[in-house]
Amino acid sequence: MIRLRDIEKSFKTGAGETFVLRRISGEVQKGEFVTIMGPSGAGKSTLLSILGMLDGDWRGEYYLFGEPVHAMKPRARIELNKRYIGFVFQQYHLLDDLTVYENLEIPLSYRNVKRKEREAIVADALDRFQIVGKKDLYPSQLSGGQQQLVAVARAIIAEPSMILADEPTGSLHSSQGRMIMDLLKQLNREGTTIVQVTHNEEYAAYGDRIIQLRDGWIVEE
Amino acid sequence: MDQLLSDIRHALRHLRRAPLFALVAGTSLAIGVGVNAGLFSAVNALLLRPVPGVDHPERVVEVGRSNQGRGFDTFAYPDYLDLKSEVRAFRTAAAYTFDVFAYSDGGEGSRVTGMSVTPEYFSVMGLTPERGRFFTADEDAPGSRPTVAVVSHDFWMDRLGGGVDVVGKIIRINRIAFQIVGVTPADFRGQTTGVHPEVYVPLRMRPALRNRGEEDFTNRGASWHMMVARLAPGATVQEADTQVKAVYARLAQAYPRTNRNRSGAVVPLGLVPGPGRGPVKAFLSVLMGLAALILLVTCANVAGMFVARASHREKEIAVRLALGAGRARLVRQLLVEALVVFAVGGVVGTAVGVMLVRSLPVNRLPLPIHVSIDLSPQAPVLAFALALTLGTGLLFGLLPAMQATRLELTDSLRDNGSTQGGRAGLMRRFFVGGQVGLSLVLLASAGFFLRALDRAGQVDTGFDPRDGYVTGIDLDLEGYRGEESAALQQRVLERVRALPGVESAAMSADLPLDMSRMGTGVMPEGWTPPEGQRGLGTDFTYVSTDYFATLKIPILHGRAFVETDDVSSEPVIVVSRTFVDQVWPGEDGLGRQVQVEGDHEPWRTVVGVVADVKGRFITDRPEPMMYLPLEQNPHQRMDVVVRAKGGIATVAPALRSAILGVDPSLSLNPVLSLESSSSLGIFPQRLAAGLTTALGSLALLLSALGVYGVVAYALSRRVREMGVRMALGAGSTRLALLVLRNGLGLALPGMLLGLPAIVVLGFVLRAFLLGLSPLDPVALVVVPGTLLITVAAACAAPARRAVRLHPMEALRSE
Amino acid sequence: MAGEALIHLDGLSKVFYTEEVETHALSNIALRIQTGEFVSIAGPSGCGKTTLLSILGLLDSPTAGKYLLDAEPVENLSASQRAKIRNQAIGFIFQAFNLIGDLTVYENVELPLTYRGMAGSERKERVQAALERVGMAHRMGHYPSQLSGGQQQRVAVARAIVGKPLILLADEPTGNLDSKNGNAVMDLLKELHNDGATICMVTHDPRYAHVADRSVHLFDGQIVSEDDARRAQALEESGFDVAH
Repeated sequence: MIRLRDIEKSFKTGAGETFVLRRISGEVQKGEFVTIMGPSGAGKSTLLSILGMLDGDWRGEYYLFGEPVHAMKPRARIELNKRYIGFVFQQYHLLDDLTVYENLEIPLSYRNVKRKEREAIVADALDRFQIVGKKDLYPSQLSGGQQQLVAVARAIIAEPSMILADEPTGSLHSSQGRMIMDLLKQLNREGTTIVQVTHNEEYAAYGDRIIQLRDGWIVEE
Repeated sequence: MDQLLSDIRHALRHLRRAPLFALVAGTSLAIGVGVNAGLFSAVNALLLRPVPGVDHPERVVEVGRSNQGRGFDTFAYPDYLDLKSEVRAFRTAAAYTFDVFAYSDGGEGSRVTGMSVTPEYFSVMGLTPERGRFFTADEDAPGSRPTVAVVSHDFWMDRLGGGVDVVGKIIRINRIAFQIVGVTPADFRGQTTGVHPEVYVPLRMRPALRNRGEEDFTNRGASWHMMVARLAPGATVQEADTQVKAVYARLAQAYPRTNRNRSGAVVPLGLVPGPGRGPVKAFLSVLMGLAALILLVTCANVAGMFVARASHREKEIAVRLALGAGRARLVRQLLVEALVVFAVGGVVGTAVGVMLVRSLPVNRLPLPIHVSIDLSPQAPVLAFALALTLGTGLLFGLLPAMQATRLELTDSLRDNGSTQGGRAGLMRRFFVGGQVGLSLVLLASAGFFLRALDRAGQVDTGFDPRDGYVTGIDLDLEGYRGEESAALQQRVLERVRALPGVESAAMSADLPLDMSRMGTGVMPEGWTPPEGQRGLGTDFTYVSTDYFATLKIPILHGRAFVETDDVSSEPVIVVSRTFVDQVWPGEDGLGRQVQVEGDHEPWRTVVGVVADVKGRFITDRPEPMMYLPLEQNPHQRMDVVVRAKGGIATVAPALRSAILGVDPSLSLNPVLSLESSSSLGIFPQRLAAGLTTALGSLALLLSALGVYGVVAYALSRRVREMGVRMALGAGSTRLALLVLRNGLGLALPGMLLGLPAIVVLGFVLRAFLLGLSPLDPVALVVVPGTLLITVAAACAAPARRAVRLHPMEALRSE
Repeated sequence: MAGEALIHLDGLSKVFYTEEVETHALSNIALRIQTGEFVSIAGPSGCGKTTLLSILGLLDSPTAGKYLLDAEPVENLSASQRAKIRNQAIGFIFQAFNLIGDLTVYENVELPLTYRGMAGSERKERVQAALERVGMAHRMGHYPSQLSGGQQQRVAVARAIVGKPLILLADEPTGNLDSKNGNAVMDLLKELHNDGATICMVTHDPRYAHVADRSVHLFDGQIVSEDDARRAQALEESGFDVAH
């Protein structure tokens, strides 16, 4: 599903060129649950952003479902992103102005789903995640774990083939963290491919395999 | 469509969470739009609005006479008849004058505004009588004496009781009995803004009303009335104009003595009469230019605020983009937010602006006639305001929206993103600097004018208006003639002088500083006129005895007029010092003789020289002035001026009853204090001071808002830096000073540019400013000082925020 | 004074109150740090390390408990009093370097001294010395944007020591650095420690925790163990999270 060859990212500073990622190559099969680990500054989040097409400034080859992302224009990449990928951020990044319901609805609205359908899909999601009672609350009124829950729900609402999760439990207490990981595991069992970034070994164990990054290099798999 | 509604709903919700931003942006816009809307309502009321009550006003034109190609002036009646019959582009034409009549319904006399018109006037205006009828052609027959009158609807309601018996009622105009035959419709208030005629009489009666003979209708040399016409179907203003000029060309050949230099012009009917349009247009154009500039700078600043706000929401925008929002969709969302702010600001501003303009004290000028300008809100004004708001909203909301959505996603989604504030921030600082500079210049001009006004109080006007009161009697209106007039005037003076508390009293045909003077040409003995001139042009007036004493005008040489200067003694005059200096330099002028221009004029001897007095405006340079004794030169229209103690509340009724005691049916001008009536002389300065103060204050407020916006935003981006400084031990004073320095740094470039502009302004306005030095220290120090203080005050709130920051949270923020 | 702890925390708690939620960031913390010690505070994300460091650095006040700094109680001071003590007694080193971009290297290091009202010549001496100590004196006139991450952090260290503080507080000092630069900064800290500096460092990077004399472990706002360096190293290798 994903194939990477010699992905590299660097930027120039006043002191020279700094490499964030070096010669990253690898594959992720459909239905896998992969964890990317490594110390801070190793480039994990950068790699995930590149996979999620949030970052277009890199060299190398990236194939998604056989499509050559590296050769696409930004518009085409955004379309690809919309179709296949759901992203879960470490800081949740829910929209503070919108209620839970509206936050869940936004991705559908951006994909021009008709209103009746949107209502149905959002209602299903609220049900599934058991947050129907919270649908009119604003993110500031929810706890960290609940916000991340909503963020995960938002990521999957448009039924992406793949979820990219960047430290999804990073800001949470242990019990809430475990709940989120259980949920991701469940989704994976139902067929969604998952790539997560974490530096917590307990949560890394939820995945099928681990990719270690250090100073921009892959050091072991 | 319902996406649009949901965008609006979200915009409102979003703004409610940022009330300060919405308030600052909305208020700035309200001021900018409001000023423009208010001014435009004045422009509309004065220049653009068609005359209300007139049928198809676009088919009505004003006609004016020019002399040697210049001017838009009155007509000679025979010329009018020729134009009326020969210009095919006119379907109907009418002649008219504006008059002030002495009106009486049997009781006390009063003054009313009126018109003398030919019968066609009403059909030129396309009016239908509300009651009765208008004048017929018979009532214009040469040699007739048609004592019929038409009254206005308001006059009928307010003065005649509004009863159904109005037609047939008898009223006295200038002591002549007229019978009312009709009433004009309620929605017609006259063709000129500010002047609402209450009574219409036939033009044929006008000479009788003014104590003149029939020769006015046959003398091609005397120009005294105005002309309007309704265009024939299909005719254009241009065609009418050409035809009028052609007729005048023919008349110039036929009557070279009177018509040699005459021509004519045709302009569309407007609420401001033809000759006044140029100056009014110019004046309003300058004001609107200023207002537009203020709005432009405000919009730019608000746009900057939106850019800043959008940067603040980088994360949100990045998230939305990451969730799949198309750029167009996001731009639309941001644009709607901008439009909502613009709309609210625009609506509030328009309402306030129009209300403020309506409450202007134009209606309280100390003029003898009642002037009122109708500034009620009109559809064009609202349309203008709407177009302005939407236009600026779209223009200035689109740019920030497009800029904000042009992001590199990852930078914003990570914690260490730096902003694109670079170029946008620079532009914003530029605009705020511009605002500051602009308000500096406006405030400086306000400062100049206020100082000038202040100085006006110290200018030596040549007379002392304190304890002076004035009213006026126009004996032409009262039906007095010849000997009767002189006798009445004498009796009035005696009675007034006898009043307790009155120190002295006198009469004059013209008073100082009332914006006007009478002028004529004279030939002084022993003086050769310079090349090209035929005599000396001088101002003049007629005065009674005791005039100079009443106004405390110093007599420099010789004497004032005494009782013995009457028709039986030698003709005498008193002249001003400048008169003497110009024609008999080095002498005191006593005993010299002067001949006034005209046929059979005697040589008059100078018996006294007085100090110069300001005639029209406070800025007048000394001009030659000549005083002629009333006893030797009878005059019908005289102002009565007294010097008395007691305040206007006491003096006015006493004065009125003393004069009315001589003849109870006299109609008098309202009694004014001399200070009030001579304040007309500084009207231009007052007006300028008022306007620049208003505009300057608004500009100042806008600058304060602008500075606040930029400083507050800059602070919000440097919160972490503040946290670092706090961690290093900076105390609250230091932090506050940091914010203040930021704000002052914004203002300084604007001020540095503005200061030389102020000096230039001072030189340009020098003539206006009564000798105030363009380098006046008050203007150069107080005004910038006020600006600096305002800027500092604008920084107060952000400074307080900086001080109150919690260091730990500050360090955590991006 | 020997024997007397430089820093003494007793029964310290910190509770955060927001709209709906009450967060107990720290509960009943007891800690002593002697002059010249190098202590590390370790624990998973969200355990309260940063909060503890903020209170140690007088950036925040505890909700309850005692804090004695150099035998003076400082838990209830006003904001301006805390600012003054921060300036005199505490040197901060942040994860994000936090140099001020508009100021040169020299001006950045000088900043805390300008808040003391020190004379210009004395400031110059001290700044020079601090920069030389960290090996950045040759870049005095440059701006932070012209330096690499590692160099910026070294300047930050110079800024922290220029005022001769009682204690250095470091919050994830290597967090934004790659291994090479991270090692360099840690070496610098070790040197300073050897020269007698008292250092308290927060980190969750297992590579560096053992550099300290001892490690204090936090979990969910409470101290769960205090280990000396060797035992801490063994713990790192067997698994990071110490659950209770």
